[in-house]
Amino acid sequence: MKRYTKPQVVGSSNVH
Amino acid sequence: MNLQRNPEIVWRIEKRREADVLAAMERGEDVSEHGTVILIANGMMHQLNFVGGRIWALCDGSRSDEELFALLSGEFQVEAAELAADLTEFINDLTNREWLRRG
Repeated sequence: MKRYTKPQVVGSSNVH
Repeated sequence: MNLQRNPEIVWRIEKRREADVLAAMERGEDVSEHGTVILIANGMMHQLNFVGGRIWALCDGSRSDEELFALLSGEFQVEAAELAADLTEFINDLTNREWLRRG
């Protein structure tokens, strides 16, 4: 069993 | 209706990064903010943490929400109520972003 963390979007950045 | 990824989104699992995160996870480190899956949508690059990436990868249209829940509860150490709440919140977030849809 793996440790659990809350699923989330952790980062966003502009591609350009 | 099963969840499926928006086919317009380019994504991949960052294998080396994922291995590093899994190793850190085993050491008990906090990896909740570490991205292991990257996706590109509308000119933006986004990252999902390990659990988020697992859910994302499983959303291929072949699994019901119940199957997703069962797979995740078998893979991670988490109380059912916590997982159910987090899964619902995550799915709603990604559906609102139009990254996931019901197909």
